[in-house]
Amino acid sequence: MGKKVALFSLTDCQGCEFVVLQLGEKLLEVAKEADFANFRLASSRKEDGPFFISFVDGAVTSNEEIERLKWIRTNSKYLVALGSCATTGGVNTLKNYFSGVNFPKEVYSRDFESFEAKPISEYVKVDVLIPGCPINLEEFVFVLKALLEDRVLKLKLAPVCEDCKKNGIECITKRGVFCLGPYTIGGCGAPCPAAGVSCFGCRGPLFSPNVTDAEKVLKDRFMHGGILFTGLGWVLVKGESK
Amino acid sequence: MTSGEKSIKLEYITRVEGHANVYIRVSKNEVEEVKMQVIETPRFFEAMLKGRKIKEAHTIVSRICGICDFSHTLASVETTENALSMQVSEQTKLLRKLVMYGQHIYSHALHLYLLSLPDYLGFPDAIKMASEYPEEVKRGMRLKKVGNEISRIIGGRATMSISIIPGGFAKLPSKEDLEKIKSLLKEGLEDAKKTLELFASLKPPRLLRETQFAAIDSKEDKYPLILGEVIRTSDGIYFNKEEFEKKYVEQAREYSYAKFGTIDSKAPMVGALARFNIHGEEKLTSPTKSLLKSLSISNTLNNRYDNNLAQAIEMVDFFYKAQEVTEQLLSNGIRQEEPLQLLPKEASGVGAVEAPRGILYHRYSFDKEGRIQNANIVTPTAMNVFSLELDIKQLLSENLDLPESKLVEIIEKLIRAYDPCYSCSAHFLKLKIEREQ
Repeated sequence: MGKKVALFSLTDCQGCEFVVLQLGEKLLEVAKEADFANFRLASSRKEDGPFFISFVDGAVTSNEEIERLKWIRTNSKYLVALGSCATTGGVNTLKNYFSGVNFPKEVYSRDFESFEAKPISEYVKVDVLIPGCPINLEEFVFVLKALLEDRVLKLKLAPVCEDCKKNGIECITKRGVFCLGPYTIGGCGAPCPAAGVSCFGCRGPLFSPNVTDAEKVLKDRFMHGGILFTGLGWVLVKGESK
Repeated sequence: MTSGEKSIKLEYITRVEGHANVYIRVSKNEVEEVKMQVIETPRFFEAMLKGRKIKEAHTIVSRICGICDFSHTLASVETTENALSMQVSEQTKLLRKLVMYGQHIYSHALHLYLLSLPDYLGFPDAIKMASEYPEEVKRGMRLKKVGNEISRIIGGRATMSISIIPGGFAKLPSKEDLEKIKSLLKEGLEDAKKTLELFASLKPPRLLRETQFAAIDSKEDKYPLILGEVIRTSDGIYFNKEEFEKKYVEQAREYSYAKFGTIDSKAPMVGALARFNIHGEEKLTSPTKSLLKSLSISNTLNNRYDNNLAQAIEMVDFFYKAQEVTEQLLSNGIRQEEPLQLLPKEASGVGAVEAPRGILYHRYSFDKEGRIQNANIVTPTAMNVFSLELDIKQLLSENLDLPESKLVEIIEKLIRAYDPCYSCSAHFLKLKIEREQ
């Protein structure tokens, strides 16, 4: 029996957990060392901790989630933020940009609690970050194996450009298209440039960016018909990547 | 709780996507109340889309759901193209058809083997199930991979498509890519057939409440997943997808984040069971028909739990259909075409596709600069919430004499048979039963 591993989700689409399930037959191999004791999407075991590793995907948007997150932290030796929603707030942060819009009213015609989407590091200590929307499966396996051996990994801060060069992918900017690759944490393998689409920065910015100026420049570019504006929303979350 | 009432709590239902609760109050011999509470944290996609540019929509909406991401992408590009009167090429249509078969094969395999089968074989999950049923689990994983690979090859990534964009494809697959898909489909076909044999041999519980099935139909395609024009129900109601919001009436309920909807004042049911029952056996490919005959599977599936069986039928059929499309693409040869230009204008449009869980509807309105002014998204799980609530009510009233643990078991099985996806419907499963002694 392996060490107890859990996967929990907060506000998100659970896509990163589906990526974990893409392990397929290898999942059975991995399960020899990692005992998936609480993985609600795929199992009814729902065991309590303590867990050796807890992976948390999703952003925090309610007090209930803060409480759950704190319980997870207390009951886990290692806590990993899994995917962009957990590492930066992800796509959910788009709503942070509309001040004065009552989102519950807008979509559900009534009031209830939902506050600005935030990364989990706002509320608890996170040991390892696995960014990406969705995560890269190899990175997940790499982090899981290292943590099972008590090795804590630090995220390598190299741009997506490095992935493009490594994989022989032609530079998107050569086509005159703006790409967030140079500003974005790499390690994803550059699937977007490989599929002919510019990077929109899902893994978060390399360094704490100058949000005000970046917004101006990017917006300007955007107005002239260049980029996927989404990147700004996803990348420049409060100008921080923790 | 008042004295004399008994409560069964079933919280955080597992092996479903997203979060929901069921609250049930039972008095002596009657079911007083059933509330299907979808409590997945709301994410407000429709509001987040406001002000975004046309070309961002498909990327943003795919993040609504980690399992039907490709369905959201395909519904989104269709919506945009309809709004802007863009006519995509035959090649684009075929590639999208193929990638949608891949999405269904992946989703059905995942649901049948990882989420549902453990219920029938008595395990908490597929990993534990593998100790006694290694061949079944591995088969499920292999089938899932076929779907994932089709998605990866055509969409650029197995989860969250990249290359499917409004107007066409940012990158087209090569002949070698299509050959690879062809061989994957050939290798996987036997697994798909065995899946149908397996699910035809299971003995699910029974629930025979009459319901109103709804599915998308099309003049050109016999069993359409994309590019359908009309919505058809088992009650003979028939309307263009443009009329969807008039015919499908939604109501917010204070106990649930998912809205409850009706067509003609009745709760609809969508998904594999609805598609199979509406289109009928004759719309399947002939090898699937022969297989159904040899397994003595009837033309109409009345038991609600047979949604799993319908998924298994579809999986085999989609293997055959995907093979046909791949052959057609290979014989046509891939033409290196650029995606159509997006020319912003003030316009609005709708898109409706059959996601693995049923009808998925999108509507956007754009301003003249091509920003989204308004968006509405109706997901299959949301469409099914009302029907599921009514089904649980009936199931309970027919089985009130069962011990509590057994009740919980059949309710959980029913919920899973629906293959709900609560992230999509907005939204987590806790089952709470209050009962008077």
